[in-house]
Amino acid sequence: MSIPFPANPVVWAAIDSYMKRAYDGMPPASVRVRLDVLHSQPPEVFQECKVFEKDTHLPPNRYSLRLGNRAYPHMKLTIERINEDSDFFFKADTHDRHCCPRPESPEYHAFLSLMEANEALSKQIESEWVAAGIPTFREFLRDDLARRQNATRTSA
Amino acid sequence: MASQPEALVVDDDEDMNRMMGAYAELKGFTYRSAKTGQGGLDEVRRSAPAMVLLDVMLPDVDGFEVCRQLKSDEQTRSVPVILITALTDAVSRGRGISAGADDFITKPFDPNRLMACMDHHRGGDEPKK
Repeated sequence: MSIPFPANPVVWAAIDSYMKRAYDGMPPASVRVRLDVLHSQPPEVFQECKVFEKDTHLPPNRYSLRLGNRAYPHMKLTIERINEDSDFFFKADTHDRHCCPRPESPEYHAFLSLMEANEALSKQIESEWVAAGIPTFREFLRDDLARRQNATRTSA
Repeated sequence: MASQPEALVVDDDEDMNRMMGAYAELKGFTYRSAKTGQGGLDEVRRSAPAMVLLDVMLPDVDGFEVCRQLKSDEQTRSVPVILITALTDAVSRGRGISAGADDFITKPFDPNRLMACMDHHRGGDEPKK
């Protein structure tokens, strides 16, 4: 049986945490509109809301909400899973690697600084999620690795 | 006694790089890392590992191009390259196949799938030194 999409309060807790870290004050109008649309979505079809960018898998394995941050408008909150039998994980997706200029470009070093800032923000957000019990892929891997390493040590 | 095979992980996300390295160690590999595409190319040319786990999204040379260069070089083409990507669309997969990738892992990945992939490709041809 397919694992259900995270409950609305969990998604909203993740969004609230993201927004507090991503912006000093009011977010841009485009982001406010997206969140207003999501607020107005009936809870029973929450994940079908048009503000989520979905992958092509049916049912989707990835839902992304473009929330941006104070310096970069394309960062996303992503809710994704490995497959239909897996839990969903939350990710603060910097979504910047694909548009990094070539190293010979005059904009390269400025963009690297932006990517570093995005990465630091992503880690802050995901740390707060972990502290709040919101599942992330990184934490899932840490737990899985610790379990496997303990099993290896025990059997040695 | 035969030395342990090496897995080179190329990923600019240090945390993810270390964790993939830890999975490789659980499968009996020693772990080397690179944080950039060029760094990955340099590492393979310096000493060919038994396998490369290569993230597609890198800050300089992307993983497709790194793979293409490794597979077009007589000295490195036999090294299995596993592309790690968040991209699932057919075009991206086609780019990976064109570049000569031996396998794909899509993020978020199933650790069992990653480890099975390591098992599958560890039996490949001995890389040329």
